[in-house]
Amino acid sequence: MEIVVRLDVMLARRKMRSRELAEIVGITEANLSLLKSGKVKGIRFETLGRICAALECQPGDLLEAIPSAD
Amino acid sequence: MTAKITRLSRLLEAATLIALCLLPLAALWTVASGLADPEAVRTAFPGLDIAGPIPPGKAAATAAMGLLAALPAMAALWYMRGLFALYRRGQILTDAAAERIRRIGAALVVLAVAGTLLHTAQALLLTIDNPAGQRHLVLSLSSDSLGFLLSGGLLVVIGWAMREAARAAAENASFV
Repeated sequence: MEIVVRLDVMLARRKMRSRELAEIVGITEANLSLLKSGKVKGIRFETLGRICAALECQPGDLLEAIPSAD
Repeated sequence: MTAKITRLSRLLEAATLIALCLLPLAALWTVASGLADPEAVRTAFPGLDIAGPIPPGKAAATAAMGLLAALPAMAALWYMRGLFALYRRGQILTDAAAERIRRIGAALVVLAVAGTLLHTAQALLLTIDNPAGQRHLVLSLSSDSLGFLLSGGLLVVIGWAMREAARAAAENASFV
């Protein structure tokens, strides 16, 4: 299984910009961009909690497990 | 904490650079003084029974052999300067810094071994013209050499440990 980040979907639903979310969560826009594109090894529970609070959602709304391509 | 490391590293980088410049001069001074006053070499080897006057050439050769020990010392200083430069730039938990720590340790180990072997060679050279039975083959481990050996070994191990720390830091940096 592969974990895919669906942050862009939630941002669109909440009509929130990346910059705004990055400010609320307290991470750089560059790191948020890496997170959106799934180019990070992991996400800290602390960061996940802040994103969920800012977007008023659950972790399951942001992360999805899909079968691996290989 | 990083600011403290940066500040002190800037100071130590300058200090190691000055030491790097002074060490060859001090080494050359040692050779020159060996040439100017060959008998001064006798006082540097108090336990050695050197028969007859010491020719200037032999005194200079003995001093020049001592110069070889300056090479690993200079290598250690060079890597120290590099390490402090990295720390000054804030590159603390990196592979490059870990590698420099390991190399400083290796240079100190070489310095300890070279110091011991060179002392043996110097004693042999100074007594080679003694009558048969009065030539010396000295093998001694000074407290300085032991100190360099132990601290060098310690730094090699710390260098390896810092490489692991650098890996952990790189992994930590890839978490958001």
